[in-house]
Amino acid sequence: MTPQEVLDSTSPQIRKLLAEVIKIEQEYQHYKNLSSVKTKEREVCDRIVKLLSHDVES
Amino acid sequence: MRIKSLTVNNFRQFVNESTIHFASTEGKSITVIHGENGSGKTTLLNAFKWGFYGYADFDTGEKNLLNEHAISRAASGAQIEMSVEVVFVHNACEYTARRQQLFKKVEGMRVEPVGGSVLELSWIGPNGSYEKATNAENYMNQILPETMHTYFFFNGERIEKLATQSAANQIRDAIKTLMGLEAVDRATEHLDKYVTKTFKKELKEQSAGELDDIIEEENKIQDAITSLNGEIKQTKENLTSYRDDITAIDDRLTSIKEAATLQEERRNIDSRLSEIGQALAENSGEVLQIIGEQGFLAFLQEPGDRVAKILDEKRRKGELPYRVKQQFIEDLLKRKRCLCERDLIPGEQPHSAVEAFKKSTGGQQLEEAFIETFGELKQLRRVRSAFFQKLRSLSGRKTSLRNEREFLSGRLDSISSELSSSAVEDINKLEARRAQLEEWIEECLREEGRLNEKLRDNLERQTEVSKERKQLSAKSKHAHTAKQKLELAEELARVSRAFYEALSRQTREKLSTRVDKTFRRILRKDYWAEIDEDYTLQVFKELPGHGPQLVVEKSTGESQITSLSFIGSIVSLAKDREEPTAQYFQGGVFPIVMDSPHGSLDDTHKELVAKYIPELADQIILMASTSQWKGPVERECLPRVGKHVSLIHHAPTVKQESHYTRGGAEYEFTEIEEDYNG
Repeated sequence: MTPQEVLDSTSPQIRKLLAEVIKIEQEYQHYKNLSSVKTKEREVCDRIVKLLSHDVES
Repeated sequence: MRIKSLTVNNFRQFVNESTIHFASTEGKSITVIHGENGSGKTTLLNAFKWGFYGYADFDTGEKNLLNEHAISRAASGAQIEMSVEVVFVHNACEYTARRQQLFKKVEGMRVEPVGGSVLELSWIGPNGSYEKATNAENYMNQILPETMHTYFFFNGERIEKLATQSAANQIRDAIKTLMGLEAVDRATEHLDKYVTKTFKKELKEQSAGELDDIIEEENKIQDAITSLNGEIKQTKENLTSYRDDITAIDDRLTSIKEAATLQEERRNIDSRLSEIGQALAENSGEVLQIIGEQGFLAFLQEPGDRVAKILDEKRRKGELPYRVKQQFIEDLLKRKRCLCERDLIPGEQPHSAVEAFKKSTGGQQLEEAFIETFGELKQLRRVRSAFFQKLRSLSGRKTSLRNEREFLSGRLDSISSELSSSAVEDINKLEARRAQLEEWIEECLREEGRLNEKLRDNLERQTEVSKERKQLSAKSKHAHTAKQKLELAEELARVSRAFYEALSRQTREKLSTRVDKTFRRILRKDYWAEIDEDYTLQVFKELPGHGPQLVVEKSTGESQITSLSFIGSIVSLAKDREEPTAQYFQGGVFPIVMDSPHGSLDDTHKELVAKYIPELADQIILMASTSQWKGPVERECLPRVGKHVSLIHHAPTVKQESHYTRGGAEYEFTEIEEDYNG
């Protein structure tokens, strides 16, 4: 499958959320080894958790 | 990354501050730095390295980076500053990377560093905002990874290593970081490891009993999978490192006169063993294929004979037709004359006899089926015989390959023993180390197999447990929202993983195509290049009668061309943003900074490299001596040169004065002149 086919095969909701998750990750891309900066990695993950929770609850 | 300027201060030959501004206008994007040997070309290449990452790569080591005149003129106890500043544009921001190292003069020409070197990275955003990195070293690494930097800022004579198997990890990392796939990879990891775990915890808090246990187990399995993946990664890295060490030892043994012949023989045997391994795998594949397609023939001899016997008996009894066409009997009845010349008159006995015979030939369809079946049974015997013959031939080839492998393995053992017992101590030690490394490689391979098996078991168990958990959680009304969140996170992780894999594959394939295109344009031989599924940059040739063959032994020039093709192609692909999925790509523009890039190449290849590589990059900085520049390189590059810079070397005395080498100076230094004297 091509990347576009992967995206086409999923729902608009998943496509939108994936784009937002990747956008969050890109903000932290300048950290070479993000997993070694625990506070920052936690921050990224919490933002993703919040994003998904908001999507389900709203 | 488009480099605007480089400023060196008291760095090696450059006393006080000297700045070079680089060309980057479209169509005129080449900056040529002219200089004779010792004038500072390699120093400038190293200034980028030291500026970005804090270390240099001089043959004399990292001592003496500070300019001698700066030391001599300073008073004892005074502080001397050495610095490098690079201004570049990347992703619409203008960055300034400035590394500084302070020294304290002790006495005479002796200095001591004051602390370590410090990098400051600041940038002005597209909206004019000023920002400064708190983690400058890592930030710089994300813009241009240290491991990849040598492929964009390189000495042409040292890049051939990229075209080896051990560079596969670097190629994979280059694709991942420079193409911006890392964000998708991290998203997958975070969704898998943390986000789903958080939602599972939430679901657990909303549920009780059985569901708790199952979630607990699922988390444990996930932890085990993460840990196993880490161990597998580490084992693979160890393998690469051991193999690199063996390559280094082999090179060293080749360079020792007493070991060279044996080492060369070992290299050839290794190469042949690798071919044998491939041939055996192909042989097994062919056997499996032929058995899959025609294996049933082995069991058809007896049934075939039995069918033939039954048909024959039935024919003799008159239950099946003789091999006489029904049409023939009908023609006799129509002519009213038998073969024996008797008249066939209806109502008389001869007519009735022939009429009865016609019935015994059966119907038209039965007759045809009978004849066809007999024909097929004969054909079956022929096909069966061919099937066994092919199997025997494959089996013979397998035995011959295995025998050759046995023989060559024995010879390898003897070579190792001969080298181990060599009278030359160096050879002795190197061989002992090599044997140890071989043993570690074997251990690693066994360990990798064991870990992969465990991983498979865990993945299977994870699927089962996940199914159970889904069934249980469906029962709980209270856990409905938590369940929805968890399912959303799991689906997102699945899509993210599939998306990452598809992006990686697509990028690798596109890069492979582009590398091959560049490679074919430059290399005169009819070879082709590709990046295989293991991210190894391979070169192939067509061997008549044998199909594509891997080119194992490449010349230094061929390896350099392979590497240059890769570098040019990755630079060119990184700036492509035309794909619909480009919004997920980081990509970007990267320069190529080359010191003596045409070192081992002949004139034709120099010309082709000079012609095609600049087409791929938006900015080229080329450092060359007069002899390297004159001729094919100048001819091809000149129309695209936006700037010439000359390095003028001054010294108290020189053997022969020229525009680039001048005498009469109080001390030795290099001056930067924005011009070219021809």
